[in-house]
Amino acid sequence: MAKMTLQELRKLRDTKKSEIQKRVVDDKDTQIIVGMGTCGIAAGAKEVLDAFLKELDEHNLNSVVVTQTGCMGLCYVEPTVEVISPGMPSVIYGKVDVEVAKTIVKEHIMGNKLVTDHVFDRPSADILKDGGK
Amino acid sequence: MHASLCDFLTDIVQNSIEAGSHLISIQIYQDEHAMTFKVTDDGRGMSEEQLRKALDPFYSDGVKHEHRKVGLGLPFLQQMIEETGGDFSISSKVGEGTEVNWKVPLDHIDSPPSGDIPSALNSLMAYPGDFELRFYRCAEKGEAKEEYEVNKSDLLEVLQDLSTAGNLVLMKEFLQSQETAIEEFLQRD
Repeated sequence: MAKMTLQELRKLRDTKKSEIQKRVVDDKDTQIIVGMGTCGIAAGAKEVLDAFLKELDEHNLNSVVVTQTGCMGLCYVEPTVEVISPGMPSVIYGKVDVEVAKTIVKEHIMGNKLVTDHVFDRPSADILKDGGK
Repeated sequence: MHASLCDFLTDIVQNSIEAGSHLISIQIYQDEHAMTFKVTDDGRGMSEEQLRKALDPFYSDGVKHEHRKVGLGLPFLQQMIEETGGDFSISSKVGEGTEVNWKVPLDHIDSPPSGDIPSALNSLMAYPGDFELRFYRCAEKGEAKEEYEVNKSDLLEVLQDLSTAGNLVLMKEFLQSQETAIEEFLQRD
């Protein structure tokens, strides 16, 4: 495989941008924040970040913001991920592996339903009971 | 403990980001026997006393987490280097920045695998913050060598935003193509 040049990258971006403009689903207000402190890295946060990118790409959710932060103070349940999605309470998920990341994209982001087994902080218990509805 | 050499790298570069650096430089040199990493930044730096404490696993400055008693980033790296018979050095000056160098023998039984370099680089390039990140990677075999260089500012100029999933996937593809050239070079006879 030849090395991609910056010009080729620019072209790819323009193609993707025109695809995004054609899409109806609005995903630009959704944000995924992956904890990337020493604890997160040791627990596999990088693999989780990659899994989110792969899953979002497969579902064409190109405008979702995927960002990183340091340790969120929940080292015992790393990797941790905060998900902020319109119409849903903001949630910190813990013990997120590749499979859980896929589930979060499908259920939380696309289906507006909390992945309750992995909620470790926010929202409060009464919201959790009815799946965030 | 971290699973791959890339995870150690991510952790050390995190320190540079959190030290408020404007310019971070990462260099990875590789030959048949060893991988050498060099991370320099122009962050706030550390005094001799702070540096000594930073290498103590049971110390954290308490700025980020008030009651925390451990700080494992640099101690993890130091431990791995001791276990594999590699080299490690760190130097720092308050107000000027920090430089961390380490060399890992690739043929030692306890050496972690190198890990996914494009993926580590992708996450570092995308890490929030207004800093420049210069990455240089070089593999050498006898007289021959293969190398590439990527700057965050160039990627930002082309993609305009390094936070959306779509752009991160494109950036990863770009970084992977650079690294594949190195992999192919190393596999060649």
